[in-house]
Amino acid sequence: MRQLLFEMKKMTRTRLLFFLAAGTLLLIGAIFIRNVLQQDMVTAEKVESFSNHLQDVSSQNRTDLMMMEDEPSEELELRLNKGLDLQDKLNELIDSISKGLWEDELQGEIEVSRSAMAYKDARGRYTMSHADLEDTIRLNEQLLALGLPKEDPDRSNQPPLFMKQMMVLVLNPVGYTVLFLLLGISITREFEDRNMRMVYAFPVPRWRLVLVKFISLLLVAMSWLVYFLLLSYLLPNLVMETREQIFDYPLLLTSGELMRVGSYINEAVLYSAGTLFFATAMVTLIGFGFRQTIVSSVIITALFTGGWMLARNGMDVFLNPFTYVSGNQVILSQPAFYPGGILVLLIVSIVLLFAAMWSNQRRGVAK
Amino acid sequence: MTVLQVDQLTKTYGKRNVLQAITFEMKAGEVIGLVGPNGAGKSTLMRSILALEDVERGSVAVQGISNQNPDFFKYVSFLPSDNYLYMHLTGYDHLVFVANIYGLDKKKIDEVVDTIGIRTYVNQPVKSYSYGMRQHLLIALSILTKPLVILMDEPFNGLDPTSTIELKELIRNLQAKGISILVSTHNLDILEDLTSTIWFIKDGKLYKTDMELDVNEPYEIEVNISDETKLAEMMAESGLPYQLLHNRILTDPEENMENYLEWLLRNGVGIQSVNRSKRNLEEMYKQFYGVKPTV
Repeated sequence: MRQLLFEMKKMTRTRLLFFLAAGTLLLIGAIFIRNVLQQDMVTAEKVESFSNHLQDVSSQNRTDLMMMEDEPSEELELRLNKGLDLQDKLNELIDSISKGLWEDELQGEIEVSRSAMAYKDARGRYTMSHADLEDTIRLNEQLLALGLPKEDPDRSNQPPLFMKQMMVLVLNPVGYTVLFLLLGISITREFEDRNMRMVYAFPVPRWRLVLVKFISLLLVAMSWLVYFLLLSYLLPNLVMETREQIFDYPLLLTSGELMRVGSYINEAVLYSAGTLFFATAMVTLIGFGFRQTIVSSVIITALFTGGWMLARNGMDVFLNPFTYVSGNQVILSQPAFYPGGILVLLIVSIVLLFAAMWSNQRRGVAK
Repeated sequence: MTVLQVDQLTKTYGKRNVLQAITFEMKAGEVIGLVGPNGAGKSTLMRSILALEDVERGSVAVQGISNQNPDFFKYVSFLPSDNYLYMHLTGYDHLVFVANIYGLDKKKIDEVVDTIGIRTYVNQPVKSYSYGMRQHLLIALSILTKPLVILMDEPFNGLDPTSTIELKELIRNLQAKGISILVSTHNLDILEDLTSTIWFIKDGKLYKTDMELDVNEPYEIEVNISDETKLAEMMAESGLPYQLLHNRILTDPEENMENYLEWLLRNGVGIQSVNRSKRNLEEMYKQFYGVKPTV
């Protein structure tokens, strides 16, 4: 316990924690301000997006009308009717968006989607797929049932959605790499600065020194995660008005099923905690194994990058711990991996930690 | 009583033998000086004793406890030649950490702080210390734990004359308390002043030399006859080989010294002192390492 306190004292007296905390605060604050400033753009972009659809459909309708005059057919007539219907619905939808009538907007988007599917069935051109249109209908129906307006997932300032946005942005292979490069230095620098000569010359088993270092790094990593989550939650809560039932906001999974954003955050937090556990054990093994900042940093970066690339290219298998480093991806595309994936992370972490303790049992410290 | 046992300690860096089957023992209260040029292996030997270096072969034990056992470090402490302190922590943080590990109370820390004289700056971060101040802190850390053996690797580096005198005094006090000290330094005068047991290290091997027991040096017997002519006549009658220097008789190293004492006492000569001339460490060093004038 006293060794652990000393480790924590070492950590707190360096500027590492300060930079970590300040950097996190700046990032979250900057993204929040960006979201606030871009709220008007969200509406404008929606209008622009549906206007583009409207333009495409209108153009097709004009062409179909001319063709009907030259060479009428039942098929063409059907498409024209569906196209004109879609055109009307799109106009109504754009009107609802512009007026800020969110319920009309949701209902309008459902009707546009249904109409667009019928139009596509009549061989009309519409840039969204059937599956996407069905997803939109399902999502909007759920939102209407909950009484919630639609949010832009990348620019919302509603607490759970902002938290999700920050988690996707930070708790990913790049974010973990940066975090663990910083934490890994606290091991290798002690070897490079020869501090370990003092520590290794104390009547303490070396495996315990490894364990204490692991626990201290894990505490720092977990504290950072709590700090990060609290900031992401509290900042929008303090500044913006939070809607009721916002934690029930539905998210679309890759399979097309819906998931509550509250459940998403629960899973993401657990995957993140598991990943921090796994990455701390990995960095402890690498740090005590290679004992050099540059070599360790290259290996840590290569492992996170390589592991993530493997997971993205079909190796996102249940037993691959790197699958869970991209929490957002695994939650949305592999819902069946939860909660077993967290167990995988914990087991791999324990194995790595034991490997670190075992390999340092009898090793010297000098180069 | 043997405290530290080093047996067949062997270490190589690539093809270079840094330590070749080093074997020795240290007795309680013994101060041994370790001498050798840079790169001779003095620091490597100390680090290997502490298991801070991976060695190819050999064993080290203090009172039968191997250096692979963490308990070894309850009895052995280290004062390294290079700085291993945490720069952003205070001297007091270091002392508290070590005291906590060894289960020592705050009173013991205060005692050591006053003994070493670091009270004025012990609460400042180590990064603000001068080289000498850091050396003082390292000395404080090495004696805080009340070890049986202290390995001091060039402890006089960076110390001013006052601190050098104080450290020499401290080493003598520790020795008087039965603590064994293996000390390396490039300052031969200091070492000569501290101990008569000096070991040279060369090509990975340890060469033990005890300056007081060097059989090639004569004894000096100081007697109560100040008349050199009268003394010369008396000694001529003895049949023993000798040289005279005022009232001192220099014996022949080949002859048993007791024969001189017996003859002198039998003839009623008062003996005031018996000394053996020490060999000069610098001369021995030059001879051993083949140092020649460069002019």
